[in-house]
Amino acid sequence: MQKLKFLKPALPLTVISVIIALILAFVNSVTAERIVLNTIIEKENAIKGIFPECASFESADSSLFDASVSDAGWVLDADGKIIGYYADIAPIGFKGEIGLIVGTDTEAKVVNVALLSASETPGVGTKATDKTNLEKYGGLSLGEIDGVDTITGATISSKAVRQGIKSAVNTVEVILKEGK
Amino acid sequence: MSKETKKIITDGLFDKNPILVQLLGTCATLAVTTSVSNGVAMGLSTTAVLVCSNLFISLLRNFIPKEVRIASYIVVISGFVTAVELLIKAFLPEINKSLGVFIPLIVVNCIILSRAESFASKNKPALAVLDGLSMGAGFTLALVVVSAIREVLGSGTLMGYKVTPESFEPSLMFVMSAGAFFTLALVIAGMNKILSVIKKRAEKKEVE
Repeated sequence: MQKLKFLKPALPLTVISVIIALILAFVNSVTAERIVLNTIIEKENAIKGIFPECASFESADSSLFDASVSDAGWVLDADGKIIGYYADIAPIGFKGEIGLIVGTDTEAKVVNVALLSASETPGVGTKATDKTNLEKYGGLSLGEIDGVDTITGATISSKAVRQGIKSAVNTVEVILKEGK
Repeated sequence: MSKETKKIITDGLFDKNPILVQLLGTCATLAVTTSVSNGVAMGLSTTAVLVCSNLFISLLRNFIPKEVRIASYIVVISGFVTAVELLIKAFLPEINKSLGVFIPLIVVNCIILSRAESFASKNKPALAVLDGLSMGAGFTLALVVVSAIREVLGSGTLMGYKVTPESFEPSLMFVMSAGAFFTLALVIAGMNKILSVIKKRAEKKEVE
């Protein structure tokens, strides 16, 4: 019995861990579905913000995507006609990922860019992710994106945004070349 | 109200305010106080974790062996933080957007560990919950004060609404970490002044 003394402190710790794991399992079962739903709704809203006529969207084959693109595909209107393309990107900014949705027309020219999530420094890095900066990319094709200036004080963030949009448009061009 | 419960409440809010007097959780304070809404959300999430962990640890205070108590506390705290994180992601996606990266940091917020060690493990569950509420309220209050100053001076807004006149040029420094230290120092100085005035008054009364 003396030999088993070392187990004494370990046992309560195990019990506590099991209880906490059970609580977490319960919370996870309640929230998991909603979390997935939230991200889908967020993406849908972003795409609909860029394409007001959007009725649905479909993902393309993921083997066509650039490394930083997590999802891309085409946007359909109510008649099932392709009205544009979208790409979901998350370039690394100054403080972690900047989630963006890039919408392009059927000739891979940017229509608009929507911000999903970012934790850039308020007042500094956020200058790169605000509307005025994102709107600068409207109407640009792949070759013209490099012409957008970086923002003073937000160099890293705005470079990340530009690079992300570039790989998004590149992915759309690849999808276009594949004939869809 | 008994003297004991009254002391717990004033301790958390003023006399032993976790940020302004004990200087605990400074890391979280400096990082999230760029806007009032972030400050409030961080304060409330921390309070939720603090109340849950205090209750849990107080209930198990005679069951947790001394040798592994810190490990037990951390398991409990990180469990509740993860639960809060999932709940925010599911039900408050807007807050998750601005505060998402900071929520996991609550695990290492020393306020929670220090309350577990110095209060919850020695007191009854009801008192531990009250202590969690009062410490959490003190933490939230301090965050709101610091973040209000930083948001007005740094971005010219309050809760996201513009409050300064057009002629006022927001000072970037208050958004950056330097401004965070600066503001926190000023608020602590103000708190010290208030506490010392209160103390002097109490002493005067005693003499009379």
